[in-house]
Amino acid sequence: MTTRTAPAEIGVASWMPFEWLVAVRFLREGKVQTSFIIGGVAIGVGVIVFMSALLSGLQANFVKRVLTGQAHIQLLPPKEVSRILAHAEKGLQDFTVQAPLQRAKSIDQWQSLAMQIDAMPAVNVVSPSVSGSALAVRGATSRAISVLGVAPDLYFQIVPMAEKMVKGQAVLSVNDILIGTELANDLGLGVGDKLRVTAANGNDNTYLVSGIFDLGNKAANSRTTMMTIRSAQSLLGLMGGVTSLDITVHDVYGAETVAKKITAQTGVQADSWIKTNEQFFTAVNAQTTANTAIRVFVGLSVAFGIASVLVVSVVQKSREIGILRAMGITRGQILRIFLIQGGLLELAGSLLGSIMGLAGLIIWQQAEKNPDGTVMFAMAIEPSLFVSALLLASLTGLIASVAPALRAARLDPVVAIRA
Amino acid sequence: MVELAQVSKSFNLGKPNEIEILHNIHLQLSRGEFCAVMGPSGSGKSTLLNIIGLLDRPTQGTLNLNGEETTLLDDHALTRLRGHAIGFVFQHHHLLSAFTALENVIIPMMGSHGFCTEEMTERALSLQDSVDLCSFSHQPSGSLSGGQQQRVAVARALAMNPALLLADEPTGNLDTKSADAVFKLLRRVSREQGTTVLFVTHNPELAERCDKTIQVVDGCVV
Repeated sequence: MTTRTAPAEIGVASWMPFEWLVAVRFLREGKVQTSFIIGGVAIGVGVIVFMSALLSGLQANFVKRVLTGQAHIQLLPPKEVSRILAHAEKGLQDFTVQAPLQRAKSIDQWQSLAMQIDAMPAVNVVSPSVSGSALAVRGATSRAISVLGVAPDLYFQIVPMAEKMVKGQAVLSVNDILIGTELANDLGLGVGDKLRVTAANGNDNTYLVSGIFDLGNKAANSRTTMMTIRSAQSLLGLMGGVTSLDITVHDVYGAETVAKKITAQTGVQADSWIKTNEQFFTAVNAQTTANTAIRVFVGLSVAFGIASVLVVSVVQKSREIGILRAMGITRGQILRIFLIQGGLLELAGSLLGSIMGLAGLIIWQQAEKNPDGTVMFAMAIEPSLFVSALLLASLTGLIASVAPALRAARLDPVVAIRA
Repeated sequence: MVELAQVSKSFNLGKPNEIEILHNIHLQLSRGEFCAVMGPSGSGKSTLLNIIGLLDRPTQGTLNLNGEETTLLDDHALTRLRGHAIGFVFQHHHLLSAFTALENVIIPMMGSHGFCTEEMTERALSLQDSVDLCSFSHQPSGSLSGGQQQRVAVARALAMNPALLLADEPTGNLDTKSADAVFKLLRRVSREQGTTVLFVTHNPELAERCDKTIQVVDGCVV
């Protein structure tokens, strides 16, 4: 009985194709060269992973901060404009047109409009609100305030007031008022205290402070107050009317498209948060462009690094290539050996780079914190980022190794053996 | 087995420095024949071997190998034919340093089939045994002595059981004892397996022990 010797017993895996075996052994043989290029690729991929996660986190944090304080889309009544009578224009000379006063006025047919918008699949919440200016008076002190009348069950889905409450609760019933921290300090108010509010039209009423909030902005905290929509309508003299419709949508980045659709369907001007925060979006786009440029240039430098190392490797391995060709190894097999080397270098480098990028992100989060010790912002560390980095890097490695691999495959075996 | 007719080889064709290395070569080798090739350096011995080994193409003439006209074959077909029908032993053993002695013997078989199998391992071990190197099988090829490396190169050349073995000064870098061992090994292979051997040497004593001797002088067989 003869004993069989499995390939694994002599250190050759039977499952490993010929080209893979040769590619791995060639890489292993040039340990220092291989280590350096893997290190170079790792640094490049690490930079890409770190910057991508950092900028994605930064953008997500900006968007979150912007959107927790405002609706995605807002419908406002059209502004009043002065018009010159057509027949009077001919007889007029040296005239000026005075801009009209923008009085608080209601959106026409707002109930049917709200229902129509609410029926749109992209829309999440539609909340009517009334806003206007007033004066908060307590004893001899008074402050100019902005009154916002809301339907709490709807509006609090748009702006999560419960999260912003410092004292009391985000609960509003008739004659309740929510005020900001600055106004509370200025007027010496606490939860349960009474506050008299006088509107410009002379209406006034006394409200019970049911809660004090912090919107994260000093000016907003000193001016903004909230009450029920009915209380505000009564105070501002807009019985049954609303001055705006606040809307949230399922896809925040699709808000502008939805806003245009609303305008097209209803004829009412709808402004999305994207339009009203144009500067922010310009900054985001600039960041994205810069990030993409960095990624492209880092990717290019890594690709050229791989290509140059493989070109050197082809020169170094010329004789081996010639010997392999003499043994009957085809040009295609030689080509694949060098393509696999390129792919493996990038794969190994990108795996190491992903770990480096992740470590960098963790260290950055530990080092950079808010004054209160909390994390500055949540980083977007998603598995898809690492998977795409690995795939993209391996593909880059393959592409970068095409030229050296072709050069190796085209080597004349006679010349190569003589080299 | 091998038949060359009117074979010429020129380099730098169509250029001012065009040079003809081989002139109108006629040569026939029978199956199992052990033939020495002698001649001064630069006479065209290696070029002749490269053409017979399908590593290079003649500028003129025809080359029949096992009855197959090879001059019209494309590169892929030549490579396949070379892999299956021809074994090479070079003056400088040219083992692959990234592999062990045994793996060097397996490589031609693996390259032909794509994967390593038990049969290949068995054959490689058997060939290592036949060149008396079993105990060195798992050593890196670079750690072996010159004579041992050349014996591994012979085992590698025989891996695909070729009909033709081309040995380009395989004993040139070896001491007398090692050279004799390598020569005896090739002679035994030729006798036992019916392999045709073309053996380039500068050693007249070794040439005398061959079935016949070809003298190449200034690109001509005399």
